[in-house]
Amino acid sequence: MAIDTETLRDHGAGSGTPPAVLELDGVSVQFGGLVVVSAVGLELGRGERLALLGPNGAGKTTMFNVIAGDVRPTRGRVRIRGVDCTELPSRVRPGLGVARTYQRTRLMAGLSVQDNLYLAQLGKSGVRHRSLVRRAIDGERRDRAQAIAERLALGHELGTAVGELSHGQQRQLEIGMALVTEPDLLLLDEPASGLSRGERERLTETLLELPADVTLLLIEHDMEVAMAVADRVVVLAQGGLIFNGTPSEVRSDPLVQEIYLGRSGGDGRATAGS
Amino acid sequence: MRAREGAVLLVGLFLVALPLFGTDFFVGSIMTRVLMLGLVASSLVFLSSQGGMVSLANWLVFGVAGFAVGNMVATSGRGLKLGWAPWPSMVVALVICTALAWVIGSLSAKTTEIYFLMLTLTFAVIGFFFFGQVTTFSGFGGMTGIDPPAFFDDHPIRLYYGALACSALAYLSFRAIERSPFGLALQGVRDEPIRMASLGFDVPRLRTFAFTFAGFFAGLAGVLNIWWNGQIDPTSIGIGPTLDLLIIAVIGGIMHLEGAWLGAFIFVGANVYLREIPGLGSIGGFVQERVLAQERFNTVIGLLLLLIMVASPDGASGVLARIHSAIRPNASAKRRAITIDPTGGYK
Repeated sequence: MAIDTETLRDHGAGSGTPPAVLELDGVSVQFGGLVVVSAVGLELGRGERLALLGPNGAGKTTMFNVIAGDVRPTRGRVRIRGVDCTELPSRVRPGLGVARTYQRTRLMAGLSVQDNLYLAQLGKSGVRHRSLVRRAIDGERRDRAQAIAERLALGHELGTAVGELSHGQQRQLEIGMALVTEPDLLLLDEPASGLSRGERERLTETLLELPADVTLLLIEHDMEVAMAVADRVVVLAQGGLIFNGTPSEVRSDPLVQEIYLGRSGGDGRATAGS
Repeated sequence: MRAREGAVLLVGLFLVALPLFGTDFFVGSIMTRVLMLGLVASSLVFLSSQGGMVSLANWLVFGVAGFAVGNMVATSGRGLKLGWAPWPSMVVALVICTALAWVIGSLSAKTTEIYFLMLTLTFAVIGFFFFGQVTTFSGFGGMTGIDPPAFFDDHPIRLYYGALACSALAYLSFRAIERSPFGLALQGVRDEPIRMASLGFDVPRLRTFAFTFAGFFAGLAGVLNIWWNGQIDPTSIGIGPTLDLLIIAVIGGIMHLEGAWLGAFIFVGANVYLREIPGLGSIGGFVQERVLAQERFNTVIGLLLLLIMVASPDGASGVLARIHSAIRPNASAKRRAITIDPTGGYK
């Protein structure tokens, strides 16, 4: 099925007041008899930074995959910039300004850092018939790839095959793959996973330096990173949304402390599932 | 110019000059067959190395080209007996093969790995029985007496040059794709199809397009083969020959484009010259007039495959790459960074 994302964008933009960047309306996901996400409703405006928290098995990644188009909800609707994306495949999302990262690194290991960043941009613009003959050395995209790589301290590794990079460098590139598309809605699934302290600090800086109009949805077990970046926090437990508030409110919420941080936690350094 | 391009150019020049000093048998029989088999194997190596698709249907597309030309050109015997001229038949056969590759590609594109392999094998088996049982197009007896165009018939060495030109076209096309945006996207699909979909790529469409492109060259090899051979029967597109193509690609190095022709050279060379070694035919008590029978050839090629796979998992071209690495260590470091390890890293 050919899907024209430009038409989708126009459709979304032509409905009067600017629509929310992301709207979830009563989203439920059920695998057989198991309810993983239960009637979750959520709205994210332009430039909002939202951390999605919850213990392991709470349904965070499933909900994330519903937004990204990798999982189709059993019930409910997903709208991105006013466009109903519930039934649309994941490949339509980049055209609507969505970029995502994965909990487990998913990079093209046989290609260089530069080629990975190039492909991220090519995917957003679409492969046209002329792509068969035009050389891959495409100045503007190559320059942008280089700029992002340098920002993530990967500038000297542009020609290196991704499979040769260290885990920390691959996690950085995972973020870079999303940033290089200049997204409106950035979905990050545990970006700090497996990073050293220094790398986590650099990640936090990168996220704080995002342009103000970029909307961010972040799943993160590292509270230090999550609380530093987010201006709103929602907490999922057993598939349901149990809290929606500011980072300072989440620290003092007794229910969240009980099911998520643990009563003795709350020092800002606890990690979920621990 | 890098060593790889330099070596290919040298081999190319050698092949152009070969008829000047090679015997008619070596050029017209052995090397023409090597180039044709290399051409169809290159379509498989392209799919495998750039798209991560190990297909068993390329040999079917190759065979369908032969049957299509046979049905259109022949005026007697089995088949449609349309009596068309060879050149228009070639064009129609290529259109049929490309369309068939598109159908097989689009039906197989949503599967990967073992499922893709099995699905393409299914198509290969369907093709074998189709031409065996549908006597309108062939029947198990096959088709004979299919003449090539007079241009090739009058001067057999021209068919060698035809196969060489088609091989060069395929090689340059596949190499050009490798660094094109389409080729990069295809390699991305090979490595991480899920990520590529989330980046906005239509993964099945990319795979289908690659399969169709490869199918065109497999069909081209099939047309050359029927012109060279003059006959075709369903047995020649059965499971045995289908696997032979995979063996050729693996022997040569399924991740290296040049390996397609190198594998074909080793395969054809072993087939022709090992038969002449006295005594080999009597291995295991099978005395076949002191020459190597087909049954023993399969054993020998199997042992050869085993030897190459153990010594060099990425085939004979991998051996050449290692020799080059030993001579120029700096180049080898760079090569390691861009080469997929077929063993998956297990030593």
